[in-house]
Amino acid sequence: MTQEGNLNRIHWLWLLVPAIVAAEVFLQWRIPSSDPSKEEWEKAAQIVIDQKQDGDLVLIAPSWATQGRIYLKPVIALQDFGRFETSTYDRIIEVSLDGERALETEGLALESEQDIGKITVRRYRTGGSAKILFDFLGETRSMKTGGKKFRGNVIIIDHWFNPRLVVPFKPKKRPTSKTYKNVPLNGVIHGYAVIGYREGRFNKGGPIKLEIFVDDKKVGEQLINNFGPLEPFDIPINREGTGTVKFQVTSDSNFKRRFGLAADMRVGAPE
Amino acid sequence: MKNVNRTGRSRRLDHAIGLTLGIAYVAVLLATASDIGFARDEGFYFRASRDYQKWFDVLGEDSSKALDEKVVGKHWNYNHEHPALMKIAFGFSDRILHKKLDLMSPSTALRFPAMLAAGLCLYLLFLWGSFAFGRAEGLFAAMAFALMPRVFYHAHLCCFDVAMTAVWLLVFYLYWRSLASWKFGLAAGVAFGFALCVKLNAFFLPVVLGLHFIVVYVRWRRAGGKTLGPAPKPWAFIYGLIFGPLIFMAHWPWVWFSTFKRIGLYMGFHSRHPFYNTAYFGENIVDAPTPISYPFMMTLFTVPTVIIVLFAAGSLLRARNHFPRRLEQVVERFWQARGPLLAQGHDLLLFIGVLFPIALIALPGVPVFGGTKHWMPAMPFLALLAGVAAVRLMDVVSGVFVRIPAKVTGGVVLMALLVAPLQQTVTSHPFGLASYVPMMGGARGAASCGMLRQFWGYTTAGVIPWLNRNVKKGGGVWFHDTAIPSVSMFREEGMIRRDIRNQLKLKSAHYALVHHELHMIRNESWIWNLWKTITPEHVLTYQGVPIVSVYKKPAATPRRKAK
Repeated sequence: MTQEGNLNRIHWLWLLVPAIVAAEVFLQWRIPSSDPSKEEWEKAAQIVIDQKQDGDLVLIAPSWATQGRIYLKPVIALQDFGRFETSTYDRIIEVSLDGERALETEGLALESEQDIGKITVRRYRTGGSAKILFDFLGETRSMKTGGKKFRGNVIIIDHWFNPRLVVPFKPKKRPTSKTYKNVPLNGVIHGYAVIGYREGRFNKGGPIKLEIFVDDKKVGEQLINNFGPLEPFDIPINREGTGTVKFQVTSDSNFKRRFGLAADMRVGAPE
Repeated sequence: MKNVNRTGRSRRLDHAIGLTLGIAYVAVLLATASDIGFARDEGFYFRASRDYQKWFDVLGEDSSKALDEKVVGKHWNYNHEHPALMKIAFGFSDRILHKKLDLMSPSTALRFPAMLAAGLCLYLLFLWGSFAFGRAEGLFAAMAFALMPRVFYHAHLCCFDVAMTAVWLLVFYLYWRSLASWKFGLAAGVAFGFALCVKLNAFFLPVVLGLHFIVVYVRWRRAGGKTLGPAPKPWAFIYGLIFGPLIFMAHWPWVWFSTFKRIGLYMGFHSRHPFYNTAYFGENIVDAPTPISYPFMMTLFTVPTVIIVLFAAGSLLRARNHFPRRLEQVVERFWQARGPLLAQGHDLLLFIGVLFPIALIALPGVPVFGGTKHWMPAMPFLALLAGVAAVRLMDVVSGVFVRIPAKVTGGVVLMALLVAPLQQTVTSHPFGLASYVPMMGGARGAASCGMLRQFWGYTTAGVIPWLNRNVKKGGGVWFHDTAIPSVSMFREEGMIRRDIRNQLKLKSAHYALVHHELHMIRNESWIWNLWKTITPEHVLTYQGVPIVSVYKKPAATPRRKAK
């Protein structure tokens, strides 16, 4: 191979540069055109509204496309938005941009798919939802808080920046609790406890001890740490009739922090 | 180093072209400044600049009173975590160009000195490029730097980052020329003094350039000392040692009293600087160790790809001159001095110029919240090396189209290479911090990868027309991440209706803004919880990616009448 030959070959590499310029210009021109128009959003939203049944979850993929919430307002409830998991839903309707898929729909059976311009509406059937006997998030009217006024469920941002709708607690050295009466007991108490992102960040959230009592008898306990993984707790009760369920929280410090739990009494295997 | 010996008219033409480029850039910045909202830090510097001007008022009225410790403390205490030079310049610009001559709006006048610094960058880049390589290289380097979307954004702001880039480049350039001339050494020493007055980064200059000087000097000694030619001169360091502290002390009245304590406070602020949040591939980076890859990847993701490719090619072309024939000769070759004095170590200086600012931020203990602005001083050198490759490509194309005059083909190639950077810069405006290269899918791709969309709450400007149309008379808006003085500037500029109140408590607001950043979802959750809605009324997007959401407080449900 002569020096001249080498140079010629190297010179061909320069062709890469105009190719990159062309690719950059084309892609840059194309990016804004993948944004759906208002009409496309409205059309897609109407299709979702028409399809939506009780027990369906509507979600947007990618999750950053929060402008979709404007159009899907009637079908995205706060409780769905702050979900911990999808095991209670029969079907998932996914509003997708750029062909993206939500993590929750991976592996699910696709029922239908419809393109509306740059939006794709997909409907999936889940593997069967758990039967909820009692939702501690939804039944807050029957809750006793030890004389203090309950101000309602709140959304806490977890360590992974996901919104989680919870029954809030203020962990202190002395136990604080929330008690529910007339809870059907023939199932499993399934739930999650979560510390707010910021408290976890400053290492001031945990550890927090959560104890669960049924008819004053302790049936389960969980220790929640600052950077611990978000794992559900499952406490089989499987008793006939109804009873009182109490969630009690204690901590080593009285530091004010965001903490809460979402739980239900359910029949059927949790996810 | 083909133009080292150029003199007279040719040099003057270089200066004229460089100045024209710089002035044209400043003109473009001025024309586009009003589109960019006021960033958080700008708000603080607006206030500081005007505070400091009050001291100059006192100085004009009664100089002995102005030198009183209490008076100095009163006017110079605010924002003492940064030296005062740029804030003094911002303040005088406001005083003269806005208040006295009414040539500019207040915010544009306050921002103007930073724009001039951006123009200085282009001037210097052209000068350096044309001096070291040729006019085409200098021209391409200046244009490539100007057309980096993030640089273009920062060049508008009443902040220090572009000014720091300008003085960093100036000191590098003058230091390089000072190796052969005491006059440039004197200029480098003075420039170093001014660099110290701009931002803390300047303290690294003696270290970086000192190491470079040692290499150049040792090479010269090993090559036989005087038999090779004159020794590299250390004038820049000598004058820097004299003028650096002098200018720094002279420019900042705040350090005239309790000097050591206050300089300690200034330094201490930065050594204990908190790690603000930033997002990187879906992770919220808020503590050490920060990812080493961060500045390297962010450079790839934010500098137009054609410039990066040309930089890589230019680096190879320059480094090729230093490659030995055999691997074991690497060290020996490194320490060899070749060519005229200014050529010795020039390539090394360019490589240091690119690598040092990036490598510094890559250290795991260094906060990375500032995004690309904290290693912006690397960008001029990156552009210079890209210019080397761009001109080589021009030569290659001219060699193919031999019938067309080389200047024509060269001009066409140069313009063609800048089309993509120009397009990205134009489309990034005014969302500079949300801009990512199309190769990663632009802002959409970056959002899907979990990258930072913005910081400083500057994008409020984009929702102000909507607020002006929708907020009822006397309504309160919670402006989220936009600092109080920045909101005040929107009002002073007449951009936002005067009756719209800046509501600091969400509880009392009628509308609330959310500037979308990964960790800001926590603030958004306050709105969801308080107003029981997850649906914004209006979303400002860039390339379809939400930048600012505006929430409206739901109308109160009528209470039942008490029996």
